[in-house]
Amino acid sequence: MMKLMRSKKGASSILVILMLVVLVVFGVAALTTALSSVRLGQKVEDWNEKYYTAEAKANKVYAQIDKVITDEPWPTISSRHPIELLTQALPIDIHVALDGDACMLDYEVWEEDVGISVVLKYDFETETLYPTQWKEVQKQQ
Amino acid sequence: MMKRLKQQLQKEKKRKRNAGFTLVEVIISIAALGLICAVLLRLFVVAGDTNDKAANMQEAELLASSTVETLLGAEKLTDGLDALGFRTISDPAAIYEMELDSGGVLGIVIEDAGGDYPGKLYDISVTVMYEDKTQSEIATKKYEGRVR
Repeated sequence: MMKLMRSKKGASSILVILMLVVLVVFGVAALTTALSSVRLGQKVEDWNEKYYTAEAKANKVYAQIDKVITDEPWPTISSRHPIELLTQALPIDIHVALDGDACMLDYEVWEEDVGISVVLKYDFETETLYPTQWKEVQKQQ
Repeated sequence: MMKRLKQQLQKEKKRKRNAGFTLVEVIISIAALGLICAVLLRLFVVAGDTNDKAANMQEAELLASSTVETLLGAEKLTDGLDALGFRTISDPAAIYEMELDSGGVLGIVIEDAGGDYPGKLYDISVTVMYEDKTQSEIATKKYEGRVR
C-alpha cells in the first residue's frame, strides 16, 4: 500500500484531469451567470413594455375625461350626475366622488399583470383637471 | 550461467522502467489536450459574449426608460426634449437622434396621436440601438392637458 502511495505513476494525468474539471466548472459557472443576466434583462424589458403600454392607456383615458369635461363643463350640468356622463362616454370603470369644491375621479388601467392607478382632481372653481396620484399597481395573486 | 541470465533480465527490466514516451505518443496526447482545451476556451468566449449582450441590454433599458421618464415627467414635451439636449421650437412632433458615448444611438419618435382632445395626445417611441441592433424599445403616450 505504502509502495503504491509513494509511486508517482499517473500523477500528471491526475493533475491534467483536475485542471480540466476546474476549467469546466469555471466555464459553466461563467456561462450560467451570463445567461441569468440576459434572462433578467429580458424580464425587465417585458415589464417596461407592459408598464409603458399601461401608461399610454392611462394617458388616453386622462385625455378622454378632459374632453368630456371640456365639452360639457360640470358646473353647468349640475342636473346630470357626472358618473352617468363619464360612464356613457368612456369604456372603462371610473369611480367619481365629490369632495367640496372639487371632484375626485379614480380609475385603473391594465396591461396583462401590470396596472396603473390614477386619481384625477377636477377643481370646479378653476375648471382644471390634474392628476393627484399616478402609481403602479400589481395584480393580486 | 543462471546468474548472468538473471542479471541481464534485471537490467532489461530496469531499462524498461526508465523508458520515456515516444514522440508519437507525446504528439497524440498534446493534440487531445489541445482539443479539449479549445472546447473549454470556447465556453469562456461564449460566456464573455453573452455577458456583453446582457450588459448592453441592461444599459439600453436603463437609458430608454430614463429618457421616457424625462419626457413624461416634464410639464411639456418640448421642455423634456430640451432637458435631453434636443432643440425644439414649438411642435415637438419629429424624429430625434443622438449618438451615445458608449457607441450606441438613441432615437426618439414623437407623433400626434390624433383624437379630438382639448390638449394634445402624443405617441412617443424611444429606441436604443447598439451596432444597428435594437436593444430596447419603449412606446407610450403623453397627454399635455388642455389648451386655454
